[in-house]
Amino acid sequence: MSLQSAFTELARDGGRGALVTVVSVEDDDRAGANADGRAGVDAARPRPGAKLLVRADSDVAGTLGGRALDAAALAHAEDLMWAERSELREGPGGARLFVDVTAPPPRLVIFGAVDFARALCGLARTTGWRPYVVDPRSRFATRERFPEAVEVVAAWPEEAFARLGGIDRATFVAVLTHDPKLDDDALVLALASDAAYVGAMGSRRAQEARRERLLEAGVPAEQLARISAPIGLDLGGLTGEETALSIMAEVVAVRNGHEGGRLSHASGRIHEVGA
Amino acid sequence: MKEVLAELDAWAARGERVALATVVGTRRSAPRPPGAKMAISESGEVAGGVSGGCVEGAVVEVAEEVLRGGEPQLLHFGIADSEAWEVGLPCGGEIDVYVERYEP
Repeated sequence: MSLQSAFTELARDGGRGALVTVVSVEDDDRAGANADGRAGVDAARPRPGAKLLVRADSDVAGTLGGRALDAAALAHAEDLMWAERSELREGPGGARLFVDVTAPPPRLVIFGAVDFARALCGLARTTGWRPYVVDPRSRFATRERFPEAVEVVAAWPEEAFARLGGIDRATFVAVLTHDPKLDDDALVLALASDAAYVGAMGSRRAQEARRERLLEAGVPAEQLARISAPIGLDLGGLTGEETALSIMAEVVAVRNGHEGGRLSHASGRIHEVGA
Repeated sequence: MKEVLAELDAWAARGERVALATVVGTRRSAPRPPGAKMAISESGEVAGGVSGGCVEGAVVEVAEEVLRGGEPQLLHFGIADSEAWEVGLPCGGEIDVYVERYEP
């Protein structure tokens, strides 16, 4: 099986990885001197079309033709597979590397089997995300109440995190129970994880009380600054569906590195993802 | 990648030779992001796309060369091209497209 075909299979299986291809080699004097003037593997001139496949579990296959090139490709691959962005990067020896990324749909883990979490699951699905609902109260955390969730986990946050395979850099967490003893537990774990985003409900007064409780529970102050609260963009929404839209809009904006204002007021690029 | 998965599988299963064109670079408001793909089979079938439809014809021609045994090619399209009136992007963007054989 070719590396291209292995990459196709990874994409089909919803895996995470990057296929790095040498798409061109700059024909300048420096690159020429490197190729002609030095002996050993690293002096090998990069060959257009050479490929290296990197999977998220760090399994590496193929080679671009030299150790320095492969090391550069690996670093770019590991960076971009988590940023979930395909991009051209420069490699040694004048090589231009295309890092083609495949990633599973982003995960939105919703703590709190509350009423509008159902609307949030629906919107997440529509937007191509994978919503999960977690709540230890098994009477609320049911499949029937959340038909659009990928999985409904009736467990305390620690066990739920474990059952969901941990919280990685591509996971977004929304904490919505409104009940301090449930919320705090989830927040402590989410803040200590690699989660891309941690949002929580709460009035300013509730937030202040939460801040004190979490500090007392030993959460460092700089971690507390990661909480997006009150959760969501400022849409002025009143219904559960509108609140869900405001949360979904915020996580999409955060994932794309945007602020989430009105395009008619914006001066930057409309489509560009990330930096 | 996902937009051409089904076709890549189907064509490979038929034993056809396939070329793959991938958007590798974009500047300004390009219609498709890096990673967008178009697959071209040797019998002339096309799936996916690399722009809003403006440069696909030119890419298919190069893909046919590649399928006949040519080297992979890195193509550039944009309004700055001398060919701007023939093959350009109406939105004013620029794109680089890499065309290669897809090995099963």
